[in-house]
This record gives sequence, structure tokens and C-alpha cells, in this order.
Amino acid sequence: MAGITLHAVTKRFSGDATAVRELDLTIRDGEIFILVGPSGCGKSTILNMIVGLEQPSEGEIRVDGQPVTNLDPKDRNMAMVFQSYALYPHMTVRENMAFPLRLAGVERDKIREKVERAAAILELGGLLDRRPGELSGGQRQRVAMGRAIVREPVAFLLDEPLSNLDAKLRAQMRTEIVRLQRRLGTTMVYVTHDQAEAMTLGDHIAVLRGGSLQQVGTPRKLYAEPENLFVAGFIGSPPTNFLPAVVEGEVLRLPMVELPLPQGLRNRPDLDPGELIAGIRPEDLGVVKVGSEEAGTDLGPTFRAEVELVEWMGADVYLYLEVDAGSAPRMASASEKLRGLMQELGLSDSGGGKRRLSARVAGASPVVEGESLHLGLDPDRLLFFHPETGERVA
Amino acid sequence: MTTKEGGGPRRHLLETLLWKVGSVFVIFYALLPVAWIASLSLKPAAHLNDGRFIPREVSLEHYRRIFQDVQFPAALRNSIGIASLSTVFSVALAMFAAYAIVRLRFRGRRVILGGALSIAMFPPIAVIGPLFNLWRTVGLFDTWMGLVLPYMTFTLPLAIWTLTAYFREIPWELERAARVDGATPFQAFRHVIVPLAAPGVFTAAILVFIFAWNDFLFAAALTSTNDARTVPAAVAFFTGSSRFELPTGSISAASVVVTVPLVIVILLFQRRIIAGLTAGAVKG
Repeated sequence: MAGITLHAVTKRFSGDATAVRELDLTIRDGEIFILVGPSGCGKSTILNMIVGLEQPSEGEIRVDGQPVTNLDPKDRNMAMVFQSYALYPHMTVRENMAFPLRLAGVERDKIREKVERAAAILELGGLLDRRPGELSGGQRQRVAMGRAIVREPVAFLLDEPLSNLDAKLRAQMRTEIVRLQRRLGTTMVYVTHDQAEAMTLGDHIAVLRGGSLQQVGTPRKLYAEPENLFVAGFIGSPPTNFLPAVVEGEVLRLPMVELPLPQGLRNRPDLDPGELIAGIRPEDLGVVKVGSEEAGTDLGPTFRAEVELVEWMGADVYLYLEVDAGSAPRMASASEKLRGLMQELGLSDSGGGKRRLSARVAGASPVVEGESLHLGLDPDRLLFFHPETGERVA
Repeated sequence: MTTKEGGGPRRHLLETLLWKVGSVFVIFYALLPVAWIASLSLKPAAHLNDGRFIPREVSLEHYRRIFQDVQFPAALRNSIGIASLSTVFSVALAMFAAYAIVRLRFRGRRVILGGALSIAMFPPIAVIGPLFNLWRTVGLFDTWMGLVLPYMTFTLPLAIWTLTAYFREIPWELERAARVDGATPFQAFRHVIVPLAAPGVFTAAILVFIFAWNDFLFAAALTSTNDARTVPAAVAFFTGSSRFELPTGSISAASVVVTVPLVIVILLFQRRIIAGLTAGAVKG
């Protein structure tokens, strides 16, 4: 059980590739810490440096205040669960789980006892004498977890441990991992590319992009106060809508609607040119009127949108909408910035005189495809970003 | 019975039949000369030229004769010792070389593989003369090591290439897993990689052993006495009981005797070559 700190850690691979740049992280004792980001953001490299499979090019890693930067993995007493599980195929489940103990020179009886206790926790009792080849994906996952917990390490490091499982099993294992971690109280560093997994599991989350840290915080903080465009776009499902926006006196102009200036943008002479990127969470858009029928509460100024696609999720409905962007403010730099970001996040870019928006509304909404809606939004729930730097301004 | 491609059970039957007939033919073709040698070795000397495939009378006189002679038991001992030593040394060295070639990034990896290949292509006969003189000078002529060294040299390329190919297929993430589990690099190699590489190692061992066991060229040129002469060379020195008699019976008996260990070695190792050993290591 230990806190882990990374101080100014940089990792360069041969050539010019910089996998991790000047990273500072503090992982508190006993928490679940998530490293999340799109592929190639350096999250697995960070994990490998923490466990000692890779050496940082610069910087220092400390465990409980003790520098471990140059320590061999075997001397760090950390356990890792690999994406592929990396079970030893020639050993039975029992031997797989006993392997770390055997290497540590634990007595035979003690090994037996510990393996059986771990197997009981993970409900692997009946499988101890099978080989990995005879197990299902979920069972292999459990064995990999078992091998990690059996020797009571100072930290668990999990590298996308659930990505080879089907959706149902993944959700089940996710809760099991949290339960296990709470029970053992061991620090856990968890790497994933799935923001939903990150949000549900993590006590703290670090969002990474191209080897640089974007933001660290609790799931709630990342969601409510993203520090930049990337974090805002990465966290949340469906992703945040981004639109160019212009401040003109007391009015905020969006492509499809004019709103009273939100509180956060008042008295901000630093935003003088008045050009911004606005982010709207899909769940902050509300249906005011379907056709001519009143449907929701009044949210102030409304705008019209065509329903292109409806995804019914049960409790919620995702609406993919098209709005007329006739009065779109012309902002070349913001548009460029947005286009690049949308591509990186794998979002479709809206072009021409139309803009696409997504909305998340209550499942009871009687919306069908092809319909025309009136939508409203609360100006104070919008997020605003600087068009050049992408930093959040309000 | 399951049917494939709509051919029905008849197609399946035909396939099985053709496979069986083919296999029997190949086995028959390959084993006929062996059976003939075995038959010859069991005939009494007087019946050697009777032209019958099945001996009229079974006698073990040739076997008794070769084992009573000092030459053959010594040669058999030499053969077993030299072939085993060559196999152990060659495979051990090749394991380290192949491991390094697959796992480490260093300059000259390709040069080593290419160099190994060029040694394999080099005709052994070209080095026999110089080696003969060299060995006599340094005192390796007519010793076990005098044969083990050339056998290692000429089998190493084969072993390195075989093992490199096998090692490439190993899920190397397991090595990282072992390192995290607390193993030193060597322990990771011994406990995780070696068991997975075993089928490849046994394959390489069989190939090296067969080469060393069957070699005649080096054995004939680099030995002169029973100290190091192996069976293939010794058989060439067999003589009949008189100058008018060919040692056909003795040669046949010796051939059968040298074949037996080879068959045993292959059967032994074959049981260790289990297909699909790596199944279940990675991926769900």
C-alpha cells in the first residue's frame, strides 16, 4: 500500500518520438487512479515506467517517498494485469497464481494457503487445476487478477484489463474490480481508453493526450469543469457539442440562436475580440416543443432543429440533430481548431450551412426521426474555450 | 458424421481412404530398405546370398560377432557420447543466440543470421584437409572434442535458425509479466520462456543429434583409432572372416544397432513436442 508520485517524468524512445512529456502526477495511497486518453497518448508507457518495465528518460518516480526510478521491477513489489492477461500457458491456474510467491521464496504451505484464499475471493475454486487454455475470457481475467492480489503488492497496475471482454462481462468485472480494490484498500493505477470506464471507476482521473497531461481531477470535476477543449470533448457520452460563438455587448451569438450573455462572460475585458468556442453538453439541451406541442419547461430562447437520428437507450434518448447555421459567426481560426479536434476525437465534422448537434433527453420524449423540434438551453451551463489555445475561459 | 462442402459421407470416406493408402505407400517405400537390412542381419552367413526377403532361418550370429569385436562397442560408445555432447553444446549456444536475436536490438543481428546461414552453406569437405592438420597440431586429432567441435560448428546455424523461428512465436509479454511477478531476467527465461520454447528446442536437438550421429565425413577423416571413431566410420573398417568373404551380415547388424538409438531419441523427444502448448496465454 503506497502513494506514488511522478516528478517531471519524460520518456523518449529511440528517434525523436516523445511518448511522455514532463509529467507530474500524484497518486494517493489506496485510491483508484485512472490514466485515460486516446491510443498513443502514452498511458501504457507511464504504467510501464511505474512498474519498472521501462526507464524514464528524465524525471523521478517515488513510492511512499522512496525513489524507485532505477529499481528493477522485481524489487518494486507491484502487480500488473495485462490487456492480454499474460497467463503462463504451461502452468495450471494454481501454478500461475503461485508463481510470484514461489519467486519470493514463500514456504510451500503458505503459498497453498494464500492461493486458495485469493481463489476464494475471485471464485476460482473449481478451476485451480485447469490450464489457461481451458478457461473462458472472463475466467482468464479473474486468474490474472488472482495472480496480482495473491502476494499483497504495494500497488495494482492494470493495463486495459477489460478490453478483451464482451460488454456485459466488462460491466460485471468493472464492479468486481472496484469491490475488490475497496476490500483490499490497495492503490490501483488503471489504464483505459474508455472514458465511461474511467468515469465510473476512478477516484481521480488523469486525461492524457500525445504524452502530455491535460487535466487531473475527480470524475465530477472533469465533467463539470474541463480545463480545455480536449477534456471537454473526451469526457461525456455522447460527446460535447462544440460551436463557434461571438460575444457582442450583452448578447452571445451561436450559429443557430442568440442568447443573453452568461454570468461567466460578463465583465471579462480580456475576451475582447469576443470570439470563443462554446461547448454544450448533450444533456443540457432540452426539448421545448415537438412540432406545435409543448413538451418541456421553458428554457428561454429556443431554436429549431431537424431530428436526423434517434438512439433509444432506455432511460435516455440520444438525438442527433441538424440545425440551420445561417447566422454563423465567421471565425477561421476557431473552425480550424475545432476541425482538428473533432478528427482526433473521432467525431464527425459538420460542414456547409448546417451544423450537427447531439442531445440527450428523457426516454419518455415522443420524438421520431425526421421531425422538427424546438430546443432550448441554459446559457449558464455552457462551457467556453479560447479559440486559439483551447483553454477554458468560463 | 459431419459433412463438408456438400460432398456427403462418401466424399469423407474417399478422403480417408486416399490418406490411408498414401500413408501406407510412403511408409512402405521408406521402410523397405530398412526391412531388407534387418532381414540380412538375421540371416546366417551361408544364406546371405539366397535372395529371399524373409530369412529361412533366423540367427543372431552377426550381432554376437559385432559385439564380441572390440571395435564396434567402442564405436557405439563414441557415437553416443559425441552426438550427445554436440547436441547439448550446440542447442545451448543456439538458444542464447536465438534469444538475443529475437529479443535484443543490437547492431549486426542480421549479420549474425546471415553469417550462420553462410556457414551452413559452406561445404564441409573444404575444411577437412586444414582441420586434419590443425587438429594434429593442437592435439585434438582422434579425440571426442575433435569431432564435437566441427559438429557444433556445422549444426549451430541450423539450430539458431530453427530456434529463432520458434522464439519469434512466443508471446513475449509473458516475460514482462514474469519480471513484474518478481523474476530476474534469467528466472523469467528459465521458468516461463524455456518451457514454452521447449518444442522448438527439442526439434533443434533432434536435427543436431541426427546430423552428428549420421556423419561419416568428419568421423572418417579426423579419427584413427577406437578412441573416437564413431559407428559410421567403424562400419567401413569391418572385415569378413576371410579375404573372400564380404562383411555384409556384420554391416547389416551394425546398421540395425545404430538405427535403434535414433528411433528412441526421436520417439522420446516427439512426445515433448506438444502442439498448441501456447494456447490460452494471451487474448481472450
